[in-house]
Amino acid sequence: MIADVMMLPVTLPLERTAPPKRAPRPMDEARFEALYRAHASKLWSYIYRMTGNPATADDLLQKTFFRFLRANPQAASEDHLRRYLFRTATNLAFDHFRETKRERGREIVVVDEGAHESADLRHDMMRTFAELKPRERALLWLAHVEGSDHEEIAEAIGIKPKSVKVLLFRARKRLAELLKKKGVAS
Amino acid sequence: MTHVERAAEAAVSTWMSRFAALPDREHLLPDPSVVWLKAQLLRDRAIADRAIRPMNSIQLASYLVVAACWAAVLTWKWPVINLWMHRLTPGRIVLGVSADAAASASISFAFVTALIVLASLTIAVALHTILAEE
Repeated sequence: MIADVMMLPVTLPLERTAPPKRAPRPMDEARFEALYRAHASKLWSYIYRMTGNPATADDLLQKTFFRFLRANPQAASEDHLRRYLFRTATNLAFDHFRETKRERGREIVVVDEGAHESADLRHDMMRTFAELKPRERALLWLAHVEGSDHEEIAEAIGIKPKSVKVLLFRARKRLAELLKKKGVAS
Repeated sequence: MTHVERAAEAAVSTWMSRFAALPDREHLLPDPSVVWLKAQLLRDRAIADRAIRPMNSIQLASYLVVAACWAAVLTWKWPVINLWMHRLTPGRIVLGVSADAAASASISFAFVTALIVLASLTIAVALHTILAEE
């Protein structure tokens, strides 16, 4: 399944305008480790909230970094790298949903390791979030948790920046309706 | 934006903050050195796959060429071969009698040479496949 992820190095879209000066040098292990430690945890949370499955989150997280290393993005700022990682993770999550063709919410697997009250709360929240469409989940997470701006969200999800405002509004409305239905919000 | 919409947005923001703050079951992330190693292995495999892709194409082409040559040779002499095979009864084989003088005469030196060459090619391609796999 992951054999198809290794190809020639590519350049980040944000750098496309700059002419290539020389062949990109592959990233060294120390830099990769630093980058991984800086972003992996947030990425994992994002993928986990999107898919609802910790094993899938592990798998997609690794694939995200495999793709990142394959692409070998050069001379990009930390913010560009972060955007690249979130965009890749989003694409992989969407691919995962397309491949499995599972109904929304069916894939929820909540591993209860904490206290019962906390586990129940998590389970309820995960189920509520899973009732949203994958794109709505991504929109809400990126906007509310990652604090991404519309341009960044558009890049991650693969839509026009102008559409983000409308889609985000609809996603918020839908979540508000779900919360109201469940008696969480008035 | 109406008061109700603002209230809904606030409720969503609050809920999302709580949702984000949920502990992720003390999740242990895959070790970066393991991810790095796997990525290197995948990269090496991809390089190897790219390197052998032309060889695989040539191999496939050679199968097709050999099959086409067999088809051409057999089509060329099929009436004679067919006649020869029908007349090749066990009795005649035991007695050592030729199947048919005319048919035998039609099987020319060129045909026999073509058969030998094709048989050799077939064996070579088969051996190459086996050795390449090993």
